[in-house]
Amino acid sequence: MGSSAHTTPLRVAHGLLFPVLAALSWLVLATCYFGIVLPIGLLARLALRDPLRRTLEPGRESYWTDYVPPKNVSRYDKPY
Amino acid sequence: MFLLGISAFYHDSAAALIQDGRIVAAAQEERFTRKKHDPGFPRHAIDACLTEAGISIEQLDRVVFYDKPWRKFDRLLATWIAEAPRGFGAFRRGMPIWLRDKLWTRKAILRGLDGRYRGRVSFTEHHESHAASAFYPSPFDEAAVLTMDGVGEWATASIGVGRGKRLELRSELRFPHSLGLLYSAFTYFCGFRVNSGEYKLMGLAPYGEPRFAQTIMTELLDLKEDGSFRLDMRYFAYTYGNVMTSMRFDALFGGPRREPESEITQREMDLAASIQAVTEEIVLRIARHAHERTKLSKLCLAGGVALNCVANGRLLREGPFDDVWIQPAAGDAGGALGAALFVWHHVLGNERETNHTTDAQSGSLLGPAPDAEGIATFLNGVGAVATRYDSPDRLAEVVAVLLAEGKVVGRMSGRMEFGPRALGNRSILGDPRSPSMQRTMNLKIKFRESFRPFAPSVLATRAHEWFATEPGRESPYMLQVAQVHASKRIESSSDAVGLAKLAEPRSVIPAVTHVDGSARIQTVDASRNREYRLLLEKFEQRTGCPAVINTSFNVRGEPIVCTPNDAWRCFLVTDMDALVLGPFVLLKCDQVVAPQRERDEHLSRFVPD
Repeated sequence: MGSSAHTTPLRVAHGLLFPVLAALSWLVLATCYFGIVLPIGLLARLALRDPLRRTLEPGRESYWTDYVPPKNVSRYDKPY
Repeated sequence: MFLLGISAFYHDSAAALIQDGRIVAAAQEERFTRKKHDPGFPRHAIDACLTEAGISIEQLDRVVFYDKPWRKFDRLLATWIAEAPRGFGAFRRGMPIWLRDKLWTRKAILRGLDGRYRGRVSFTEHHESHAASAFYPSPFDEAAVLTMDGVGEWATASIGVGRGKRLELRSELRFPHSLGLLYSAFTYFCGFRVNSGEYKLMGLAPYGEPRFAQTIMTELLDLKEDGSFRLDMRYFAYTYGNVMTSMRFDALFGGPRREPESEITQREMDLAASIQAVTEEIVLRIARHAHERTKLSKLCLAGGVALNCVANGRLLREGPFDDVWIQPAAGDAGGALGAALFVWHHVLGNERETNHTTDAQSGSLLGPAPDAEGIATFLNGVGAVATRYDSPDRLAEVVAVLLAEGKVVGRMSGRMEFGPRALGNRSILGDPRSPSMQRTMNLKIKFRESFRPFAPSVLATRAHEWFATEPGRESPYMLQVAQVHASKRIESSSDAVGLAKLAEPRSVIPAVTHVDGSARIQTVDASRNREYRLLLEKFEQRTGCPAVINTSFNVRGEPIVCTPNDAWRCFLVTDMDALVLGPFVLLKCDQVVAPQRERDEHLSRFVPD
């Protein structure tokens, strides 16, 4: 009984808070996306740079690119 | 020295444990949690590996994660930037997960191990992990290595060379230009689940005509002679949306995608045949290029595309390599094994030995095995009626008789398979000579589409007499397709098209002969699975046929069974006739059959792929 009485107000509070937090999260993400990601993307486009290299190049012989190995094995201790 | 490899947080989480370079155990998390393709931290799989070795977390010397999460994040950032502003949805869904969890993989691993591991955590590249899983367990001293999948960090395919303890990647194709994602786009368009339904698409291909193959080649790709390519991304949406294909793709192929679970039409069959033909062409071109670059006669293959056994079969028959070894856990699960092996050999510099004939994968029977006493206790607990056969010979004889009588038998025995294929130890078996068996097993036991083909397990020594393979050519992991031998074929005289092709037997083993006369064979030998081989021998002695149907022990959408309880439940809710649990044989007619409500409940737990 005690436990249930204890958790009910928490559940209600969580229920009320959830939409507020979701809206806040959306706002922060939208700000980051349209304030940072989009301008960088537009600048890249103006500079004719495509990080995904989507342009087809029919005249090119091959799309294979050389693999660049890590310079030393300590790189395997890093997540990058 | 114990090294634990982990793959997690995307799909098909798994763990693999090696001791001084020897593979001790490996398992996929989905088998324990009963969530297909479970992406979570593979704690159950880790525990199973540690139990097999008889060690604790504290005794691990190194933990290795199968990719570089920050480089993956770099690719995501680049994709969001390239696609802005239309990728906000993907950004909104992806960014919080990455900031909260995925960037902090080291912490997640340490937390997942209860803070009891205090050693180093290493990170290998995704395609290094795949390549290592292909090369190090192979029987080759040196080999070209080819990996192809959806995407890792940036690479979608890579070519390398393995020599002794060294493994070096040399060239790669990069996201978004991906053979795996191209195949997945068609999987999606045909109404199947991405990263899961690709096998269905491959199975559907022989029902269709490749009438779209040229369109794919000219409109969707710029394919070079060396197999490298770029996709025309105007047709795809996976870089910015939560769907694989764009409206332009719909227009090219005559309308929107097939709704999941709706009727499969001739268009889907033709699309499946077309993308299969294109995939095979690309794989063959890449293999020829790898051969030219490396000048080596052997090839090792891994990555999700390596599960395309039809392409593998063509690679063996038409490709430039004398021999090909394919990692049975070719998808991301196998990355756990590759990551650990790569660090042991390549990073730590430990020598590698091969015997030139047998691989080090131990038949991929690397998971947990239930012991007979545990099974006995379980069976007593559920009130099952079972007969125990302590003589393997007698047990094989009894099961062979059941199969020869046309019974469908679930077999759970020995160590669980690592990888997506059941290889006899977690399998449902049947008589391949029966013309009605494919339909019965699909509809009444697997509860899946009637077009799905079944594969045969065949005695290795007899395989060339029943299938168009060279004597001695192994296919122990069910990763190659071969035609049924001409002497066993029944020539077709009908003009049936599409699914109507199913009605006509194509060989004397119709239940394992696909409509194009092919079969996805598993050769069985004593060195990898002595008891399963014994069963096939007994079946041959009784019937003259050295092959049985082997399909995974599960229902549609369910992970393959792991424990006696999983097997027992699956046995009860399907029309399976008998169940083999270790040394015990259970007949359905002796058990209390599950009511329909219980059957429906069980089936509804699994999402169709």
